[in-house]
Amino acid sequence: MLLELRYLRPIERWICEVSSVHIQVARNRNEASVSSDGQQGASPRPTGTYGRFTHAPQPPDHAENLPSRAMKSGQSTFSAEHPALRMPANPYSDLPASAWWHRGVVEAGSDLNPIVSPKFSVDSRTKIATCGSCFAQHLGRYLARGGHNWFVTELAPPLMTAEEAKEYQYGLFSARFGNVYNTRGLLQLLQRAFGSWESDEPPWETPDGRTVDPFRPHVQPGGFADVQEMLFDRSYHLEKVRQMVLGMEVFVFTLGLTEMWQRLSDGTALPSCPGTHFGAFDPSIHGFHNLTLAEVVEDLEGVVALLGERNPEAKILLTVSPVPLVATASGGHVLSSTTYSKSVLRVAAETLKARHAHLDYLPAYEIITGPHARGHAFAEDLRSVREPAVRHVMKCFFDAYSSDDRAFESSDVIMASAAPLQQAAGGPDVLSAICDEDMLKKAYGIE
Amino acid sequence: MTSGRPPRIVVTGDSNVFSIYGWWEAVRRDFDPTRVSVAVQCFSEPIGPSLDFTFVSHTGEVRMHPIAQTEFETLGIPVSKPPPAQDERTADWVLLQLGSRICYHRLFYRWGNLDFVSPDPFGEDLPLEGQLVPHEIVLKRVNEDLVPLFRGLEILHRALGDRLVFLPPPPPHRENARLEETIMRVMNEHHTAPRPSARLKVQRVYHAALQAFCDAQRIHFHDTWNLTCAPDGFLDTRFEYDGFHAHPSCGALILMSFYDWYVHPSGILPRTGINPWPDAEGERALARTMFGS
Repeated sequence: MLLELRYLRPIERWICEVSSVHIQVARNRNEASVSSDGQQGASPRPTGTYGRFTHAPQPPDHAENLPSRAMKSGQSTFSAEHPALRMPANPYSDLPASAWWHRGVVEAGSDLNPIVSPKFSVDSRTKIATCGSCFAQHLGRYLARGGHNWFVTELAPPLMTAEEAKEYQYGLFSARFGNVYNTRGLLQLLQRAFGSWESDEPPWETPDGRTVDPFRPHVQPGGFADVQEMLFDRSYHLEKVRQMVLGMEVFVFTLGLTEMWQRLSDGTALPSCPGTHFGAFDPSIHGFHNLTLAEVVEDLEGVVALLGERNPEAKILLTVSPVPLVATASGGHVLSSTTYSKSVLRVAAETLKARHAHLDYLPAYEIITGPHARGHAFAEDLRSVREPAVRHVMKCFFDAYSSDDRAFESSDVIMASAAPLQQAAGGPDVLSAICDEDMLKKAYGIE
Repeated sequence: MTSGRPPRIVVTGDSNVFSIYGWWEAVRRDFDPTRVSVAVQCFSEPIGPSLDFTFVSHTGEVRMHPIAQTEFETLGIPVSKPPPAQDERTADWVLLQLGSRICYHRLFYRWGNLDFVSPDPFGEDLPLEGQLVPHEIVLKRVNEDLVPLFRGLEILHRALGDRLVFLPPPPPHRENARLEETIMRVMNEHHTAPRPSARLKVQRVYHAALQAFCDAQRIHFHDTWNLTCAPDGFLDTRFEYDGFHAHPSCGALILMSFYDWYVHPSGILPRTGINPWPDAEGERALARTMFGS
């Protein structure tokens, strides 16, 4: 049965028209055959040129491009001549497997690695700094475990035990930032570190009179003893941020949210809403803001410019956290708000990637949330990311970016025990991360 | 006086007892032995081999203590068994000075470039430098360090009862240079001393922890910090000796204030306001008044 073009989406129709492809699809879509010898992509193919492409046309990936109506109605078997033999040169005829959904995603299974052309490489000596939302905490940990040089400038005092250091949020990121959820917060952090911007936001107080740093409300359990201690500790922290910026070779930033609370008078971005855990909420002082795509891009451009000025050799790697919002203040449904947030951040990352040769995008978001994961990458709360899924992200990172043999070996050791992503559902291990956002749940007794 | 005989005071402890020992050895012949009997014994190397009582405070190891020997053995703590010291068995007071080694062990080996905001009055005006540690963490570490000492103090307190008096380490010297020389000599290692302000603040934490323990256990805590420090909290320069240990004049103050407060209250040395401590001649005159000669 011939494929009826009216069932196809425009792009698919265009492919068929240009290529004069008659797609034959087996009744069982997984048994579809497109080559004379029955091997997908293995048959001799004519070569030709199309525009800038010099190529040996490959058969198009087929089953997933079929119209759903045809599939559902059992019209999935079409008589056709072998398409590749008749295909003239076109932009799709030389595409790699990664460009086709079926071969790049469906067939890839647990080997899926959507990183196609990394812009730079790292080795075990490369100083890699990490910052961002709670998902970014996993990156640093795996960098260190994978034998890479996780560049941490703000180390825990030697008097602290490992448990205390974690409680005081040392060793989560390259410096004791706390969570930096949004691009505005990152830009302002760097500006504060280098003295080009100051915030009007005063210290917050705990109910028992201790002091909280509004930029890092949860780094000091119970708060600081007083304002003097908080300001001194902040000063030390910002010095470590400067050291990080000046010394790092790669900066990995995980974009988390677009929703934020800000000080209305000067636009100070706050990592948590005043009054939900610490501080006091006054609508005449603080307000909600949902960053637009243009604002996120502008913030990131500011970050790129500042880093370029201070450390021109540093590469930047953006990721988007796959962790959904814990709550939205936008007035919409949290699911829609999450989609908006992640979409904006993802597009912004792509925009910056296209503009800057030294900036790349690590598709952690896609690896975790893509249909291939079938939702199994998330724990029961549908927010926490299971460890095998994070391991897979890091395997993708190591495979694509690491040029160091030892690092590869180390990463292989990590990944040797990694369950396929589809098996993650039964994984016992939900990664723990310290998230300021989660404090909102605690504030309202939601566990 | 006790039962018609002069009160017997035994002073023992680590190397800081040197200040009492040094002063007493220099002046004891001036005093009427019928009014006071003071025996000073130390186990630290600078003093010599007077090892009647060895309590290795920073490890909690008890090598020997004749008075509490039975208690130690009951608790399964091995002790050696030299003849009990007559002075200790019959002492009316046992002044125990310990803690400096613990405090400085922590400082020199693990402190580094740290600092903290101290709630102590002596630390509140000091500048902050380096990396901050929460005071709560410092307090936890200090109390962990002191666990062996606390355990030993409990044992000694059971053995000695109300006769036990704890002498906390004196305030720290203000300068680092001579301290580093001393530490090199004593510990046979080179160390860069932490900043003086950090030394002062940490030692105040130790001081407070020791005092809290003694108060809770009802052990006499002979606190002469306020009498021996300058207004900024460091050891009064007149009491500085080798960068670490206090001068014998400081020992004179400690011993005489103890005698005046606990043994024979006369009001000669009130608990506050006795600074400035007299010069060497005045000090001798004060001692003659107190102990008679």
